[in-house]
Parts: sequence; C-alpha cells; structure tokens
Amino acid sequence: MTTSLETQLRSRAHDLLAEGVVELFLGYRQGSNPLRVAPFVARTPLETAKLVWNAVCVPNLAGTLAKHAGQRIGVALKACDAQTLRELLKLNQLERSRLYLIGIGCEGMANPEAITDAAPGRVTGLAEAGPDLVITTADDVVRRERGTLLLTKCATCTGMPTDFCDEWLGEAPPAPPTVPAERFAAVQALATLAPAERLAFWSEHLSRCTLCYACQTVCPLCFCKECALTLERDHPRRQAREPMTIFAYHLMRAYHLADRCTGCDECSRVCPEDIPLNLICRKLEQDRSQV
Amino acid sequence: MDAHAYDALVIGAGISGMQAALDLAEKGYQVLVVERQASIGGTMAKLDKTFPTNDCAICITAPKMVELARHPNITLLTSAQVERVAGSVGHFEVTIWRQTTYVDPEKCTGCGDCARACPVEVADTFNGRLSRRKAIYLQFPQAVPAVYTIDYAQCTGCGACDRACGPGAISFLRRSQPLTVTVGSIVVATGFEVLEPTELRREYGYGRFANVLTALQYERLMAASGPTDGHVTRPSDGQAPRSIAWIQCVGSRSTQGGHPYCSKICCMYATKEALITREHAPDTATTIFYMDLRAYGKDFQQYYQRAASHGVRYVRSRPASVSENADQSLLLEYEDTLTGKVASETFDLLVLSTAVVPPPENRRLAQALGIAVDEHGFFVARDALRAPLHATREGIFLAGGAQGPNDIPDCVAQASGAAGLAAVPLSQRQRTAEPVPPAERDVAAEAPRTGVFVCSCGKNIGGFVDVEAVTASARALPEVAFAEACTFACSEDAQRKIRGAIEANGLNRVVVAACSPITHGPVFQQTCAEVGLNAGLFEMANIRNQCSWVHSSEPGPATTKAADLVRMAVARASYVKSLPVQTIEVTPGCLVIGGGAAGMTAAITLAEMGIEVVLVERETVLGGKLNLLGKLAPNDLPASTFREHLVHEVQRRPLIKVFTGTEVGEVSGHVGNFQVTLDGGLGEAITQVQVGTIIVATGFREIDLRGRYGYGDDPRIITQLELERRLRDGTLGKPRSVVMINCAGSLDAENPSCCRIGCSVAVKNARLVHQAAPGTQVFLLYQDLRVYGKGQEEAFTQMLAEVAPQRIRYDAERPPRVSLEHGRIMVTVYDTLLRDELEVEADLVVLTAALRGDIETPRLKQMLKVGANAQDFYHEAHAKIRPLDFTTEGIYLCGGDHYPRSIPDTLAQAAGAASRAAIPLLRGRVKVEPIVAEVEAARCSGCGLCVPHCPYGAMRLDPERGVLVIEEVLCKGCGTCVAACPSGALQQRGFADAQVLAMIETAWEGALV
Amino acid sequence: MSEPFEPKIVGLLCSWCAYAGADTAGVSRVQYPPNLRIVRVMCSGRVDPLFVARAFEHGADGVLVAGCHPGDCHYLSGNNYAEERFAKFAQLLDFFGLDQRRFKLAWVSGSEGARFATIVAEMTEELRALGPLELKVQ
Repeated sequence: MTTSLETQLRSRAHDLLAEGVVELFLGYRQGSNPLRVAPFVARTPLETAKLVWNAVCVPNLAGTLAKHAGQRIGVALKACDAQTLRELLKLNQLERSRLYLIGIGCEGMANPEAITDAAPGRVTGLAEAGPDLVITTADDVVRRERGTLLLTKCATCTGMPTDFCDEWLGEAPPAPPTVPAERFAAVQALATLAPAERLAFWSEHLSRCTLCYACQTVCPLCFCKECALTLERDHPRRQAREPMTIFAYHLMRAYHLADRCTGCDECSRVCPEDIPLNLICRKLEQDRSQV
Repeated sequence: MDAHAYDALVIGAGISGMQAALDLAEKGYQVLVVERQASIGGTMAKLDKTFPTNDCAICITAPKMVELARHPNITLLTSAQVERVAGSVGHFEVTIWRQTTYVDPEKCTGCGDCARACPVEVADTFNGRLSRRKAIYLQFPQAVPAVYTIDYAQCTGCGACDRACGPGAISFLRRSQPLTVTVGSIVVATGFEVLEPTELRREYGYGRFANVLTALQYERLMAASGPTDGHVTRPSDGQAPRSIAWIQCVGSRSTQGGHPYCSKICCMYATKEALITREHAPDTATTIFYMDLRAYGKDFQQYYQRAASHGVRYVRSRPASVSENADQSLLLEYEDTLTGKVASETFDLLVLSTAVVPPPENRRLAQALGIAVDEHGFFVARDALRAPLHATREGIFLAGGAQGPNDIPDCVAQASGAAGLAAVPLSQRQRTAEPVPPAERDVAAEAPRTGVFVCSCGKNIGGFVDVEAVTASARALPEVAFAEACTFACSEDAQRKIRGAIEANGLNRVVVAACSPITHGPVFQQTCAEVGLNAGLFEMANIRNQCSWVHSSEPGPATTKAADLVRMAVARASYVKSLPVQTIEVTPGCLVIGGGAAGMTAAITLAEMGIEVVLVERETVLGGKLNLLGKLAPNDLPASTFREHLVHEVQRRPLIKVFTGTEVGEVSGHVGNFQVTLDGGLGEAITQVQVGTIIVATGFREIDLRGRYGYGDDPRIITQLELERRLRDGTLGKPRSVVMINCAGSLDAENPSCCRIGCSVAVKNARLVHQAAPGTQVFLLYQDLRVYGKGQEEAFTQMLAEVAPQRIRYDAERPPRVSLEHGRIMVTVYDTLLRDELEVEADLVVLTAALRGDIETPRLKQMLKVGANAQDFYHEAHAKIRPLDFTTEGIYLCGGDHYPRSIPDTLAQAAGAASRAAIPLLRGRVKVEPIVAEVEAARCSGCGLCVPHCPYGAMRLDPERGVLVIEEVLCKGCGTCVAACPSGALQQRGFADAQVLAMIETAWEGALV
Repeated sequence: MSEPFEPKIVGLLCSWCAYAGADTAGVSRVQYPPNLRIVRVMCSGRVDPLFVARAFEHGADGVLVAGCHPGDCHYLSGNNYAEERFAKFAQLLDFFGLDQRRFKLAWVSGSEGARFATIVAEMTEELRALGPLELKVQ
C-alpha cells in the first residue's frame, strides 16, 4: 500500500510540474540512513523520482513551505503539517491561491528512536507491511506493530482540517471526534504538582539548555524576520547561561506561540538536550482548547 | 504712559480667567490678563482635591498656570486692577493700576532669603490665617509668577529684606503706576469668596470658638502644602480631631442671612472633605448636617453614596446652636428632621460650609466697567436665559464665580464660552501667526551627554532624601556629563541655570529628578526646547510624589530609591531620540451634530467668528427640545419664541449650512480633516462634507417609564415633558389635584444618577400649572429638593409662596406607589418628615422621569471613537478642567448629551464648545501626537496580529507589500499594538522597547548597595 | 545573621491612571514600602509580557502591572488587551512553576492613592514571605 502511496505521490507531483500547475513541489527525500528523511523541493518532473513517502516522514513541511512564499508550490501534507499551514495562512504568511495541497492519508509516523530501540542492531532498512513495520538490521529482520512505535503526537493525532486540501491520496483516517484525552496526560500530570515541584522539574530540564535556539529555528510558526527573543544572544547573561535568562527565553517563546502552536513537536524533536519542549506545545494547545 | 494695543482683556486669573485667556490666545489673539493677587490660580489653587474624581486640585491647576505664564500671546499683569474703561466694543480704552510690590520680577530668583530675613510675621491669608507668613512672601510654593511680594500694609520698612537679597531685586523706590491699553473685548472672571460669618451674628461660633472653621480653611488643613502639611489637626491644641461635623448652608438659602441663593458647591465639597478625611484617618467620625443633599452633577450622586458607604454620616438638620465645652470641643444642639429626635452631640472640630459670596471688589469694578451687579454683588447677565455670558455692556462677557456660585467644570465651560463670544468682535483682526518653533540641534549622531538636575523642592524632597548623595551617584554614571542639585527646579531661576548648563556643557539629554512628569514634564521640555533640545530628549525621575513623599519615615531607603530612579532615567535617556513635531493643514469648517438650543448656539457663535458651519439635525425642523417645551425658566419666555429667535439667527447667516431630516452616516479622518457622510434618508442624496472639527450637541431624553408608577396605563399619568406640551397647547384642563413625583426612575440601582434639572423643572411647572388652573392642589413628592442654577433657589421660594404646594419627602427605599382604582388614580407615599403614610387622589400624575443621553449615542460614539457612560452620556476628556473636549482631538461636546442641564448652562457650554472647536480652525494647522507607533517595514512580517488591537483604526496591512501601514494622525500613542507585535518591528516613539527595557533592566541591577 | 529579605519589585504603570494614582499617593503622603521601582508607559496595553520576563531576568522578585479600571482606559480598550495578555502570561508562569504571586495586574485610578499604596504594601509583604526569586540548577 505504502509503495503505492509513494508512487501515486511521485506521479501526481510529476504531472503538476509538467502541466505547469506548480513551479515547485515539496515533499521528502531519503536521508543519510533509513530512519531519516529530509524536506526536498522538486523543481522538474524528473526530480520527482527522488520523492519518498515512508513511516518516518516526521519533519513539518509547513515551515519549509514558508521559505518559498511567493512561488506556486505543491506540497504533500500530513494532518499535523496541514494544521500548521492553516495557522500560517491565517497570519498572512502564505497565499492559499499559490499553493496546491495534496493531503496524505497518514497512518502516523514512527518514532525513529523507538525503532532503533526495537531493532537488535544498526537499522539498515525499513518497510511497511500491513499494520506492521519491518525493520532490517545487518543480521536480522524484526516486525513490529506500527501502532506501538508511533510518535506521541501521532498516537493522539487530532486529524486533518476539513475541506482544506486540493486533493487526497490514500485512505483518510477518520478524524477523531474529540481530541483524545491522553494527548494531555503528561501536561495534566505536571499540573497536579505543586508549583515548587513544577519549578524543580523545569529547573532540572532547562538547566541543560545551551541556548542553541534550535527550537526557535525549526519552529514553522516562528515566522518573524528577526526574532525578538534571540536578538539578545550576545548579552552577557545569555552567554553565562544564567538560569533566569534561560527561563525567560522559554517563557517568552511559549507566550509568543500561545495562540498559534499546533503541536507538531518539531522543537522537542530537534532539541539536542532532549528537553521535553513538547510539553509546552501540549500546554498551549490545551489552554487554547479551553478558551 | 504706555498705550499698548491688545485684542482682549481678561480680568481675574483663577481657573475661569485662565481658561478664557488661553482659549483666546490659542486662537492667535493677543491677550492681557490682569490679576489683583500676586499670583494667578485663584481659589482652585487653594483646594486640596476636587470632587467627584478626587483629583489633586493644584496638580491640575498648576500646569494651566504655567501654560498661561509661558504663552507667547498672553501678557500677565499681577497685583493690578482695572480702574476705568472708556470707549466701546472693539475699541475699549482701559486704565489699569499696577500696584508696586517693591520687588523686581526680572531679578527675583524666588530663593526666599528675603522672607527668612524679614522680622514681621503676619497671618497667612492664603492658608485661611491658619499659619503665619512674613511681610515679604510668596503666596504659595507653585505661585506664578514665582516672585516674592511685599505686603506693604504690614511692612515696617526696616530694609532687612533688601540687605538679604543677593540679586538686589528689592527697591522701595518702585512706584505703583497707571497703565493705559486698548482692547477689543473684555472677559470678567473675578471669581468668588466665601462668607466669613465673623460680623453680625457670628453664626455657629465662628471667630469665637477656636475649633470652628470655614470649609475653605479646612481645605487648607487637608492640603499637603497647607499649614499642617496635610495633617488635619485642631487649631486649639494641634491634636487630631476624633470627630468632625460640617454644617451646610451657613449664610446660604436664607433671606435673613442675606444670601437667599443656594451656594451650589457646598454639598459636594463637604462630602469630599469628609470622605477624604476618612480615607486619611478612618477612625475619624464625620457628620454632615444638611438641608437638601444637592448631589446633582455628573457622578455626584454616586460620589455621595460612596461617601455614605465609607461611613460619612448625613443628618438632615439645621443645627440650632453651638457652644464650646471646656476642652474646646463643640456641643451641637439639633433636631434630626427624619427621625424627629432632638439631640446634643459633641464634636472635636466644626466646619461651616459658608455661603459663596462675590468679592467686595466687584461693585467698584462694575462701576469702572460700566456694567451691572445684582443686589449681592454678582455681575448680572444681559438676559439670564438667552445671553447668560453677556454683561450689560456690549463687548464685555462674564465667566465663572463672578456671576454666581459655580463648580469648576461650569466655570471652565463658561470661560470657554466667554472667550468664544469675546472673539466675535475680534473676527476682523489680524491674528498672530503660529510661532516658529525654535531651531533644534541634531543630536542623532552624538554619544549621550546627559545632564542631571536633582531638585530638593524646598524640603519636599530635600527633607527626606539626601539630594547631594543622589546628585553624586548620578555624576558617577558614565553617560552623565553634568549633574547638579537645585532647590526648586521649576523656578524661573533654576530653568535659566538648566538652559545655561545645557549650552555650557553641550548636553544632549536632560534628566530632571523632581516631581511628576505629568504635571511638570511640559515645563522642562519647554525649557530644553528654548536651547534647541527636542522634547523627546528630556526625561524625568519622579523622586517626590513617588519617593520622598511616600517614604518620609525612611530617609535611607528613600535616598537609595531616588538614586535608582535617577539611574533608570539616565539609562532610558541614552536610548531616547528626538520626537519630530509634525503639523497638518486644517480644512476650514465645523460640523455641528444636533440642531437644538445647544447646536444652534454653537453654530451661530462659530459663524460670528467667521467660521463655516454644517449644522445637521435628525428631525425635519430645528429646535430640539425647544419644540416640546412650554415656557422657560427663569422668565417664562415661551420656548417657541426662543426657538424662532435661534432659527432666525441660524438662517440669516450664510456661513451656516443647515441639513434637517439628516443623519450622520459615516465619519472618517481626524482633527483638521474629517470626512463626513450625511444621509438625508430615503430617496435623499448622500452628501459628503469635509470639516476640520466636530461639535456633538445631541441632547438628552426621558427614560421609558412604562410599567412603573402606572405610566402607560392611563392618559392622566404623564411625564414632565408631556406636561410641558399640555401647558404649551392649553390642554391641561382643570385638574383638582396634580401629584408630581420627582426622581421617577432615578437614584436607583439601575440608574444611580441624579438628573440635575428635574427639581427645577418641577418647581417651574408647579407654578405654571397653578397659573393655568388656579385652585389646583399641587403635591410635590421629592427625595431632596435639588433646584439647580442661578436664581433657581429664589424661584423655588417664590413658587412655595405662590402655589403653596403640599411637599412630601419620600425615601428611595419606600418610593410612592400609583394605583388605578375604579378609574381613580391613587398615590400612596410614606412621608419621611411626618413619618406617616399618606394617600392622595390625583387627577393628574406628573413623573419627573430620569434622563439619559440621546438614543443615537451608542452608534455615534462608535463612529466618532469617543466614550459614553451606561446612561449614554458622553465622557468628556476631564471631569474638571476639560468639560467640553473629547479625548479624541478635534471633537467637542456641549449641552444635554454630556449631562442634563438648564438652558442658560447649555448656551454657555455651546458657546464654549464653539470656542474650543474654533481653535484648530483659526490656527489653520494642528500638531500630530509625537509619540505615535511606527513600523520598521524590513522587520514586519505582515502577520496582522497588531491590527485589531488599535482602538482608533489607525493601522492596516498593505496587501501589496505585506507589511503594516500606520496612519500617524489617527494614532493616539497608547502603544497597545506595539505590545502585540512579537517581532519588535512595531515600536512606539518615546516608548520604544529599548527605552522601556533600559529602565526595567537597570531598576535593580547596578543598585547602590 | 543575614539581613531580612527585602523584595525587589518593578512596577509598569499607565500614565493616566495608575501612575497618576501613585502620584496621588504622594500628594496624600500615604506611606508604602520603598521596594518598588516605577516605569511609566502611556497605557497598560503597551506592557509587553517581555517586559515582565526581562524584569525577572534582571533581578526583580516581583512585577506589578497597573492600569485604568475596566471601562476607564484613556485609550478606550488598551487595558482590556492588557488583561487578556496577562491572563495568558500568568498561566504560563504557573506552568513553569513560577509563583503567580510574583506577578500582579491591578487597576488603580488617578484618585486612588491610598489603594495604590495598599497594593504595593501587600505585594511587598507577600514577596517578603515568598523569598527571593532563585532558580536552583544542578
């Protein structure tokens, strides 16, 4: 099935470029190992052969899309990417009329770390077989149910916005009628702590922060031309990584995303210190759903 | 002899005279101001706070005083009086007597060395003789001009002051001199005094018992700058009183007392004094003995209720006698008229709310001016109804307390009105062109060189903060090139020094550490501007109001804090930039919305000044309420006659273009350039007009009383407006009994306000009913009789004699009930004075309905982007000193849409609004707010998050470029959009992120330890 | 023996109401603790939560934002936006475990000098009990 999704996608991208409907087509290409993909822009029909669609197409393409604003561009969209894109459109960062949106019946992306953990050695191949993922290593092949390897955001996916895409590939998973409660389980647990315990929790995690700003750089909804929060990067307090300065940075980053964040979890994906930044995303999402 | 020519003369420089002078000067006319006292400011400068907003009186007066003294079109003569006026309107020749003060104002630095040297101590009249001053003195710390004066009557001529005076400003050879000037018109604003019942009856022990004061003396006791630094103490022993009583109407509302009129302001100032006393010292028992509690201004009733709920006790009684106890407390004997109980009660201090009286000087001045005064000595209007601001000689106009008791907003409105009318005879004169601003130094490329001036404000700051230490810490800051302490930074002398220091040291930023930037910022900005420093390069540290005064018991921390505040200001100063002053051209012409008495009068006044007017009226005929009324107080002029007169005056002026049956459809633009769509209704053309200013005069309406008091159930239950119509049309019939119920729908939870005019209307109509149907028994059901306005108390007394109505005082808790029984109307009411329930059969019930603003107010306020309260009355810019302005520049208000008012008051306001609206039109250019938002297009990502945050519709996204565009002239400089911008692409001039953050980041870092 | 802890507070006050109220407190000589440093802005709507974060970053133990009472905003609705923003911001403070008492949004009119003083006194007292804002890091 997946192969066919990938084939369908290549063929549609090929035609759209060939017919001149779009100037560019954005999707993924294979990365440096089987568990990595990278955003890829096909500029000619020929280049569409490099497009891939597999179980680890994790990066959010909405952010990449914004870099090509002004051009006619087609894109393959997962539900989560679509939600981000919707926000970007609302905030005038892209023009809907210049976009050609192909919604993909995404079954949820697997967490590459979970795959690595499940594999007995270095992963050399990854394939889909019905509900299972087939993980190949140098000397073994294991099958795992896809559902057990999903990213947390995918396990509690909130679905594709309705009437959003120009066309659709694959089977659309039925949109959950309500946001699954388990999506907020971790935030809820944090909320039950006393403020001092919460402070301790964050102190511990944020003490690892090196202020590398990867979370800001990757965020598809951080669209300011210059970020007011990273302008200060040379301030001695930042250089010294004073705890309150780190707190203030994350606090303000959260505040700026308060009405926007769609919970794509790109920030925590790229954080080199594994700070659970996705908890912040969930918190913002939760606050927004309560308004 | 100097025979200098001026355009206008203003006599008296209290709040009224200052407003009149500024209104004329702002129009470009040369104004001569003559003040009898050594300083301008008048009574308002003596007050502690003002009701009902509890604004600090001197804080809002002082900026006006300074503005007047600095105005290029105003010449100020203090210690002077008008001796003789010859000639006629347009060509008055005025002789003025300049009393010498023996002090050269050019040389006096206001340092006070002379007063310290003077051996003669006398009672300080400014402080109500509660303290002492020297024979050479400054009236009060904020006096303008800040020049010492010799009280010649007290001076022994010893010469100690002369020897002490460093600059040699004192000369006993300076002589008083006459001066002759010519002017085109004259405004008389000589203010009022309060009765000091020392003669005759020595009422309530004033002058005999040490602890009996007038309310004005009490005002000085409360004032922070008063004889006791704001601590209320008893004159006899300096102890804080545990209980204070106020007695209202001392000398007023009494023919025997010689002052039959109501003094109008006392109920509210007594309430204010009691309320603030309790805020300062919550354990002080405060009691007000009143006759009728006249809380009839905007928000007054709510203020009164707040006072009552804060424990101010009100007793309806006129105490019979006062005697002094051995401990000099006072024993009052009184009967509470609501309970009938006779009591005697002891108070530590007694305050008398004595009658407002005219200055004795008025009679002499009236002769000099050739105008009339009434039997009390107040100046009289040519026509109390139709020309309330015209004196009896053409070209002379009246404002404020000079013609009777008035509260501050009424004084200000009348002053603007008098200024508008006084501008009429000047309309053909050449006006002074817009002054060219002084050339500015371009300091953008210079590194900050900041000058710091630390004021000790006499002892106000210096008494609690180590000013030298603060100055030294400022001097140590790297950006600071110059730092100096001064005694009074706002004195003329210190300003000279600041200017000198800027020039001598090449300073490009100035920080003054003193009082509040709100009151004094503009003063220093002006000083800096005079030596080429833009206002934006000035910064103030508030080390008095927000430091020394509030930490007076902790000098150490106060000094640290003052140093911190200075450091913060210096940090900010490093990031400030010049604020460019831009002006835009003004489209001539004014739109007046509403063609009632207010709108027509405003239009006529504007046209007489030579200004084009577009007058829009929703109804098909002009006249507004005048179309509905019968006869008008105080002289029973038929409303129709007055209406015809006004309509004729409108129609005969080609400058006024009238649109009847027309509504205002859309308004866009801003002061100087409004585009207005006029909608003539079905099938009529839409007209577009362009004007420079707008006056809103949309009046008031009666609330719908259906379902209350049987209104709507029977044609014999009507409102006062309906009664007016019946009286006018002669359809009243011969009712045997008429029951008037005042406050119908007022003073309750839904509508807590007092309608102000209802009692006077009821009094007038009771008399007119009596005339139309003699023999009718009139019942007047009221809560408090709050007749309002000049001559109304007398009209009330006269009505009582003529009509002999049955007066029944009811209580809000037990309102009258109206029922229909077998075709008979029965009114049941509990009379709180008889303490009995009465039942009256009525042939006619007249409800004095609560009043609200116009029905269109909610729509119009959106369109004009102005505010209004829950009763649809518009919010003026400031309850006290800007009653005719909206906060939105270029839009003004008058008449009943601000609050219900009598016709004379409406006309005064209308002339005032015309005066205000004429200022931008006559100047021809307006200034744009300098602290507007600005966008750095290169950083703007065009997300549009800011756009909905602008309350003035000043921002939009440019769809082509995908960036934000700001209409600067619409921006009012709140900065709300700036805080909504995540990227920092939006900034506010004068309050940019870097400027604010500089203060925040230095507040606690680098602090003195 | 260490000195008793004196909290450091930054106040961001709107010019028309709260700042005027602080002035009135002075005119009325109402005393309050000297632990507040006031920064004037034209409207509470100008106050960016960034200012609050920066104040904490630069040594403040508490931040007070004060403006005109609802309905009294000199700029019609700036205070409403301030209220909206800081409701959101305060939730985030709490989420990160920063005690919500360290941040206060208050409405003070130009005449409420005594009220202003009370607010400052109470906040100082609360912060004194809370102790300094210190983040412990391993």
